[in-house]
Amino acid sequence: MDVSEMSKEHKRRYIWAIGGGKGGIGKSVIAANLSIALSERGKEVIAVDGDLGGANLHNLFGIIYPPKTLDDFIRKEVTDIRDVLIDTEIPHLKLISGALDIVNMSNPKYMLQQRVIRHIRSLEADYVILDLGAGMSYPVLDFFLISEQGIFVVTPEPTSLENAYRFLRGVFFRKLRKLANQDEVKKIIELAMDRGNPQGIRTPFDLLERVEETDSQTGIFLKEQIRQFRPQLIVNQVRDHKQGQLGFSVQSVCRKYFGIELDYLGFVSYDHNVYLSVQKRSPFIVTYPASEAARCIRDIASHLLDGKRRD
Amino acid sequence: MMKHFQNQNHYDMLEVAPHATDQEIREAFERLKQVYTPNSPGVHDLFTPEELNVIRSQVEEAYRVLSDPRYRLEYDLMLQGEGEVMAVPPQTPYIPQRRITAEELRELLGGEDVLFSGKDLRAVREYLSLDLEQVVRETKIRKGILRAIEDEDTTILPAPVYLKGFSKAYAKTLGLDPNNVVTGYMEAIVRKGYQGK
Repeated sequence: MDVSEMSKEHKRRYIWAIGGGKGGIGKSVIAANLSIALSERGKEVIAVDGDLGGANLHNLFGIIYPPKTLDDFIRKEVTDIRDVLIDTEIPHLKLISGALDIVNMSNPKYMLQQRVIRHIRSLEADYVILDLGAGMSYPVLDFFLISEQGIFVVTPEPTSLENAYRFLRGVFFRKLRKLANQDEVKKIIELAMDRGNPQGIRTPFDLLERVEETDSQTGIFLKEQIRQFRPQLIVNQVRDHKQGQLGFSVQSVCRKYFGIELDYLGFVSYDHNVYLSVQKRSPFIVTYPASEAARCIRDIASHLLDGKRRD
Repeated sequence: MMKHFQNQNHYDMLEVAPHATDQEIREAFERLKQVYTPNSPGVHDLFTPEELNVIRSQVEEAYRVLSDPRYRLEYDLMLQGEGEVMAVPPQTPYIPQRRITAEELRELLGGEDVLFSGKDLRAVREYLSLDLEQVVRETKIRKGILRAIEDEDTTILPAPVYLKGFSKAYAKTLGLDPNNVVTGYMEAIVRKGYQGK
């Protein structure tokens, strides 16, 4: 393979952040099992624990004392993030374990997080799966935005859905804020992020209109960026057919409210085996490979790999 | 970025493709009706009650129009007129390989005084070895409508102003004189009880 081919190869690397706003909806479990499903297909995968306040992804791989973690990188005991990569029992799958010991890591300094982000981007693998913490603080949103098409998880519960929409709204405005160059436009976007803003900018459409009035070039630019913004969705803990349909409802709301197209990757059935596997500190796709949940995860991995969508 | 829902056409509103089947349209309607209510989790956070009302009534109006073949057809024509949507995505235009000569036409339809009924049009089409799909591609008219024209199914045929446009387009594709076909066809179906609107 010559140099030009290598750089092409490099570009095809995907980073998928997995978020969702609410805690306890299965982000880490999905991140772990999806990483394995991708590596089962012969892909080189790195799972990264990006939950800076409550790292536990290593647990789901049965690793109790990770020999190296992001702590070492943050403390600059190692200078390259590749030095904290650890092997898992799964072929083709490596792990970067989250920061465990540093207090206040859930709210890292901006420059520090940017350093982590730069290094994550430089990782060499086919797929990097980045597991995020709960909440919608700027560090979480910025991690989510590492990936062009981040994956967000909801469960069929009102609280999860409410958080998911808020999370998506946060991601959406944060993305625009980072894209905008002009101070005036930045100010408008910051205003819009505050839901009770006195200017009455409530929806992305209001915002775009206001931006276009101020600077039509930026308006056009942002519209194009929004068109390309295509987050992906997994519905977790689905108990019946109707709950599986929830993905299509979220898809509709994204069209009508944000004006964006969302990819519904599929759902993961509610499955007692998932609970059992977490208790055993072993990924269900390994411990219960024939379980319903494992089948769902493999389907989702196929959708991701083949670019197929549920419609 | 998509259009704001207030400016969406009926297809965008129901989030279906322009060539969606009746069943797809019905399923979309049933789903959307349930999503945009004040009780729908998370949705009330994003939309005001007034906006939800607007969305619901637009969804209902879209369904009212698209679930009725005749209204849908007229709506499609209106969109086509506005250059918004084509009933079928444009493809390489079909160019008739051969045209039917006046003599062949007399032979085929038997006589000078041809009315160009639906049956006649079908006979010409089959004589030219064209299937309906090819005519759909060329005319951008939906297949169901072409079939209704040939069957002279007055329950599906649209209002005269549209029907004239369709039969004209169809005639051109068959290489026939459009004016003769329109006049003849309209006369033929009025005999069958077509009244238009």
